[in-house]
Amino acid sequence: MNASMHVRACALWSPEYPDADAWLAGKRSEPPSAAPPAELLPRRVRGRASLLTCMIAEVVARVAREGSADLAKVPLIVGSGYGEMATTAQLLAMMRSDDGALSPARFQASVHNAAAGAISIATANQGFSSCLSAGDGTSAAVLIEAFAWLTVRGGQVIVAAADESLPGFFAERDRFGPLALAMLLDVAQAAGGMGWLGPPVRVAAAAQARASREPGDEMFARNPVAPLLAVLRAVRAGRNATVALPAGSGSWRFEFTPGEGSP
Amino acid sequence: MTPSRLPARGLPLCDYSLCCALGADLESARAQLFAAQSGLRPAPFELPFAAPCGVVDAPLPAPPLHLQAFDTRQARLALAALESLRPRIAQAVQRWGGARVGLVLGSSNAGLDTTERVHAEHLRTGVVRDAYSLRTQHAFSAVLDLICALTGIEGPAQFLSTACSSSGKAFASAQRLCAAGLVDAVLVGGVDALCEMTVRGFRSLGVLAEQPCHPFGAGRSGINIGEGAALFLFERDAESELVLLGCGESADAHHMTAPDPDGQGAELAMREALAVAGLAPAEIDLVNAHGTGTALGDASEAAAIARVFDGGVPVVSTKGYTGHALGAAGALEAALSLLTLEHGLLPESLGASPVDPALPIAVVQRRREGVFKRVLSNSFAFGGSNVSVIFGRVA
Repeated sequence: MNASMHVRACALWSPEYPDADAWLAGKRSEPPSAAPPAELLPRRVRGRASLLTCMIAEVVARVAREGSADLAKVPLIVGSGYGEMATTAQLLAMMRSDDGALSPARFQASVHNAAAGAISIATANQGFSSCLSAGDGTSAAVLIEAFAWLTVRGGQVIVAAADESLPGFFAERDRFGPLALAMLLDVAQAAGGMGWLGPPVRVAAAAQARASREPGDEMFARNPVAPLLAVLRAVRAGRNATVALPAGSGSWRFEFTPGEGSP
Repeated sequence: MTPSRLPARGLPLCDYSLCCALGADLESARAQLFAAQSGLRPAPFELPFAAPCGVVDAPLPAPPLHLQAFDTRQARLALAALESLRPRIAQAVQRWGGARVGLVLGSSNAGLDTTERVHAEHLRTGVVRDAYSLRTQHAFSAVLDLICALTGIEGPAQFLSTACSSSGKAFASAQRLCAAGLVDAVLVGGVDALCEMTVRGFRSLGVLAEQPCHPFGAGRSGINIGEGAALFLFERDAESELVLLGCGESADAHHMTAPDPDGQGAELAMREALAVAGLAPAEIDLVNAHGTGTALGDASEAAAIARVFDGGVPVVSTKGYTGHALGAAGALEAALSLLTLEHGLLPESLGASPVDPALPIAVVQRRREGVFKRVLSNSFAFGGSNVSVIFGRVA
């Protein structure tokens, strides 16, 4: 079994923070951005895509660029707690209006793998991609899925995790800001890169908090993928760290060891 | 990609179960399947068009009182499938410890059927009912939390959601978790409840049939939507005749909803599953096709199957029995395929006759007896997501 996953690149986007540097420095965009450039997607697709799909496309493109990964070949694992909720809300409204007919474009964009599908089409990637959800455990789940993939198949993999704000009546009970993160991981032992994430270790105790409690992260506190911020913070800090990600009644612990290319 | 470090003889299957339009348990479904009885019925909700659906009409179990917050149709379908497996799951949890038992499910809709009703109420009243919770009644994680609470499973737990390939890909994910040494046992499956949105959505795409579907048939006009759940318990070193041999996953990279007409992505998935299983195409006795009954989808899949298997392998579609159970389809059809391996009976492809003469495959039109040792089952989805799963009987 591989001892660890090598972190080659990582990226973040939210309306308040255009990238990981801005997030770490606490420099918010004023006003917040409506959407990321998402230039990976063709203009026509981008124009119709949800914020969630654009956010995922943006962070995936960034880590591929930073880590020199070939998007036509690299496997992709996408995690989202709730998925395409804005599109789902639009379809619910259509269903109860006039004749109840749905927009086929909206319907096809409502599936959990809408972003992964759009990315594979845009990059002509016929290889592996997968999309998963595990509620607050989504951050741990994407890393576990990546660890299993790299252990069995080797090579490299991009993991992306994102959730958009809840729309319409969904927001009556739960509010949080949009957030997308991604990492390019591989099994190479060569120098360079940002460090290594060790294998997942199950811990019975629940993680201390669902999200990072660092200043500036409050707006993401209830975002299902916010726990992954703690991993990103450890990687970018370039110090040995233990990160506990919540999952069900317990948590998964990952040890981070910085590499030569660590900041 | 180089398949490696997967169990040589396959991942042993301890037990499996299902709940679908054919029946709320394996025995009921088996009887209906081999008697060529369809489970398609009129849609259970009001629509301005005809839409036969694969509806489960048996009473479904509710969660226990202390887990009532999780009570949705999706949860009840999952519980119906879970019931018969609970003693065997309890043994696995006791033997390995809960943290070494995983849970990997597939779904496309999550709790959307409940959300549809709550949304309609909200439009009428302006109020979201107190009992509704996005986390316990809509999110994918709800059924994970429910099953973990009932079984003591504490290992990796996740829903794969890649539309109609979701639960097929759950087998692939589970196989990797085992091969990577992260679990010793894993509960795998799929569950989706019938939703008005998906029926209307497929109608909007122009691929919903107003009559019972005709997979691979000359007069095929589209799909019927279904619902159901199927669960499978695998254990690393269990003694079992039935094994998961290999999975292959690919993407069309062609279109969000239309299949690649040449079926290249489907072919890639089938060939990878064969490579992972270490099998030649001639060693497959049966292909359970995705076979939904759409003109383009069936033609694309038939072309791919013909290239991989030289057109000679028997091909079955069970969509005429259950409808297309979306995210649960891969798991549901895996269970029906395993019934074929166990009982030596190949069901007819209900609704297929007369088969489209332009399709270069051997669609099974009459029930057939025989010895079937290995089955490859396909699931294809929006986004061009493809998965092929191979099961075997090793006795």
